[in-house]
Amino acid sequence: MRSKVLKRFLSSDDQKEEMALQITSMADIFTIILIFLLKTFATGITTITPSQGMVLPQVVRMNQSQMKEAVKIEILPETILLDTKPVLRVHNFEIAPEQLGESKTALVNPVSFTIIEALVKVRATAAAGHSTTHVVVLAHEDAPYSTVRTVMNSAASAGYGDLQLVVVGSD
Amino acid sequence: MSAVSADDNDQDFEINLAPIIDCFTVLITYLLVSASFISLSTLDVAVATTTEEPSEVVSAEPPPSVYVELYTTRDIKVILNGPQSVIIPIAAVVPKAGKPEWDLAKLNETISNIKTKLPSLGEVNIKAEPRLKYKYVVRAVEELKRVMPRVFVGE
Repeated sequence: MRSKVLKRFLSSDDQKEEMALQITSMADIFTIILIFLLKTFATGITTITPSQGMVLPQVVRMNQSQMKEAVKIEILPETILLDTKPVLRVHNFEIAPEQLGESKTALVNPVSFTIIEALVKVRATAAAGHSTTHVVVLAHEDAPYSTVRTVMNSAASAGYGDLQLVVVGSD
Repeated sequence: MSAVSADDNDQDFEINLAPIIDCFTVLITYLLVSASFISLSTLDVAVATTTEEPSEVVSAEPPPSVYVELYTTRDIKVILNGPQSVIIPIAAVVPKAGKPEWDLAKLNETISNIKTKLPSLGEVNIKAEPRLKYKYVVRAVEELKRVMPRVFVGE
């Protein structure tokens, strides 16, 4: 009885057929994954890449505000970057007193004329109709408020009054 | 005497998907490896500028405004300017063992109460001590953004 079953199994046509991998469905899945990944990277805030040594502050709940086309300012322990180019040397987040001044629009608030000049240059080089008043600020979480405030004042003096503070979501 | 045989005219053919799958595999791997898995977000704020120049137009009754002052001792002061100025201190929460912490829940509650009393109020100004770390300012901004649509960062 057992030998009969085995004989029938071995003689079946299925066993003679060559095994062919069905890759059409795999291609479909890969296409969907690829489109999803490309779309996520094209529209998300992931286009912002913090510089090395940057530790961004964390927030508990994520804010869903839309990232706008903007100039990027980074405040690091030893330097302040504008669109990844260093504009001002700082020492342990401290801006040298000789670098500070007072703006005409914000008399009581200190500003850095170096940062203002750099931002004005960025504004001048921007194509007509593409100028923005937005600045994306990436500051190290341990930066003192005075330094962040000076950078913000400088941005405001250069015509960039709307700021977006980049943070890391913890959830 | 036909030049083309029957097999050559056969329209039934299959696309070779293997190289396409190869390309897709490489692309997906590259995208996943180069991806940043840190979930970044932004907090919209505006800069509050103050001038020493006297304003030409002096209104009889200035509109109400709210200021939140942050101190390195983790204390918070909420100042409501208007017909009557009110200062609401929010003391730091001091656990039995450990450092004092911000009472952000109380701050949220205080601003919510002010907002309920003054529904026209749509903005709040944050001030902080110069030595205060930026991360604490961000935490306060995050808390205030839940109640107030617009947050100004002051001196």
